Amino acid sequence: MKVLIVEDERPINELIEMSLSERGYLCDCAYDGITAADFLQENSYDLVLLDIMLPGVDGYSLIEYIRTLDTPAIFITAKSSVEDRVKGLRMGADDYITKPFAIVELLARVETVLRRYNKGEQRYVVGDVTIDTVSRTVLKAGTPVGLTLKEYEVLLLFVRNRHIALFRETIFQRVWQSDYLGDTRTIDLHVRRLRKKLGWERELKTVYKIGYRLEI
Amino acid sequence: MRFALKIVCVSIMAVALALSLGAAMLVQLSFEQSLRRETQRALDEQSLIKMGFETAAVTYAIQDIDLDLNTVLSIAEQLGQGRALALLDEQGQMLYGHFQIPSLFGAASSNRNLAVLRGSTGDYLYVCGPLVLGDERYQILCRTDIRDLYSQRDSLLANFLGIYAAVLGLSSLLVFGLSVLLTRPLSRLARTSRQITGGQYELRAAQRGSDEVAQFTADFNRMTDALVDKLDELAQAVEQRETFVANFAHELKTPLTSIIGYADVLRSQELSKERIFRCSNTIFNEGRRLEALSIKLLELMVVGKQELQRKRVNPRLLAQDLELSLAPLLQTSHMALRVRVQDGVLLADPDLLKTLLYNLIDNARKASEPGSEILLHGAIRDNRYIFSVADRGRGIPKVEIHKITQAFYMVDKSRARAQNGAGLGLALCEKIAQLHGGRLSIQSELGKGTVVRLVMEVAP
Repeated sequence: MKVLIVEDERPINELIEMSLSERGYLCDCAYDGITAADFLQENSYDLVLLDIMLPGVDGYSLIEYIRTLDTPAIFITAKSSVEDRVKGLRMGADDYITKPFAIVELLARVETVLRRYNKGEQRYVVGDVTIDTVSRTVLKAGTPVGLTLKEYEVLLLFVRNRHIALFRETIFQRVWQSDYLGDTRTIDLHVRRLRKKLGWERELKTVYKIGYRLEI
Repeated sequence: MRFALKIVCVSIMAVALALSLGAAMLVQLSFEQSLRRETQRALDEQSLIKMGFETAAVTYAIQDIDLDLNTVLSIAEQLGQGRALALLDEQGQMLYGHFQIPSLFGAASSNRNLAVLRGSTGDYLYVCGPLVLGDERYQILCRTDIRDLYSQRDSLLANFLGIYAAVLGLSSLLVFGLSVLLTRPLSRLARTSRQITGGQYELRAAQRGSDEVAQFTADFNRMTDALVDKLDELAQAVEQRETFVANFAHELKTPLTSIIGYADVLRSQELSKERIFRCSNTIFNEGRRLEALSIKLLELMVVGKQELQRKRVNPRLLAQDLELSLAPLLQTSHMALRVRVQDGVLLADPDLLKTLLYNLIDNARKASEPGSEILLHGAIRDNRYIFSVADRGRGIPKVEIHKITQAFYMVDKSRARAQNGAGLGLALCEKIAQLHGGRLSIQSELGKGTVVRLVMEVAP
């Protein structure tokens, strides 16, 4: 999966590159609009992450070019007003992420967009567990495992963020889509159930005072 | 009601009043004159008849004919030929006559009597006078038909009514036309003002002649100019504020994104030592950037709010101070500052002035390569004190020069970042210059260097 990151702020560009490479994406980094256009001309990408305020050619101009290539694009920008979002989406962006963003959120949105274009991972194989995101089925050593919707979503979050400590608040925000108010029991319960159903007593590690991490 | 219509009404009322008064007086005067003439004639006639009687009486007396009633009646008969004549006795009894005697003339009187009587049968002027024939006393009553006089007057009045109506109609038209012509500039002005209110701010009213309306139009245009200027100014201020806020948000969010992102990586992943260093170093640098931003921003805000502490300042001593405080910074950048500042007296806030020059020199330092020289020059010219900071650095592209005093504007973002620049230095300098009534001007050539001048008034 090839991703082009267009962002003039070097630290942010590197941060995105680091997080995406960690999860197996191949990344190219462009620090201005003209280099980005050159990259787009020479290579084909599965996704473009695009800042709006860029030196040289700005993001709005770039997205018009990207649309002709039929490549999905996500705006990553500090412009957070509703008008800016609407403008960005109207111009053909597939999603709009405002700075500052959480890395987990960035990854989730990247996956969502890729899935919409049938480019994302459709099958995850983790140990003897196979997850099919199209039919939403989970197999453990070939036999189906019955999971509730939330259990499935928590599982997917762990699988997509392997070797990364997921904070309880992050899990809560991503799966339950609401603000974390300190209620740890719901998450702990779901994790316990997952451990039991998948036999991941050791693989799903508790990180003291923080949350959990999938080590597989 | 339209103004033109008001003018028409008022002037037509005035014309009607004057015309009817004048005409009525004229008709009345001419009528009275005719009546007087007629009366005179009637009086003359009466005297003539009286004389006729007396002459006849004398003739009869010579012929020794008795002057009895019959004789008198025959005289009356003769004199009454073709005349409206009546002879009355002392008691007012008619002796001779072919017309009805008005009751007015009854009793005898020695004086001549005049009366105008108007009735259904006609309008008559009666003249009555005494007549003495021998021992008998009579009265002669003459009647003159003055119907023509009245009908003349009436026809005059009728004619006048026609003329009156025509004149009124004509003058209404004339006045209406004139007032429309006179009020047209006003309606044009009203239309223009409506259009301007509707948003066509560039529109102005056409000005013709030099009367009050033209002056009013000129005043109106001047007012509109002033308002539009003010409006533009406000719009510009709003736009500037919006740009400032947007830029500020951007400048704030960029380092925050890095700090939050890298901290998130640090706290949730097990990283190699080298990775940990890179992440924490980025967090440190971006934190520094935020610090620089907040300090500059605070300075910018405080400068606008604080009362100016103006003192008499000698720029040469100020430059000496500045040289001292800049020395370590310039030394680490391997640059030299050459100071040529003349004595003088300025009325300024020394701290702010120092901040201004410090920023200009720091900018020059950032634009220059190590080993180069920066020149701070100060001299009096034409009763103004002129500071200039010159460098032989990279210069500023021509199209960017007018933008570089805007807050958060950076010509080369990545370079400014590397030097912890927030794009606020020159905005601060300009603000300080403005507070002192001074002016900042920038002259630059790409690749050759930049000269920034500060022109200030010399203290009296």
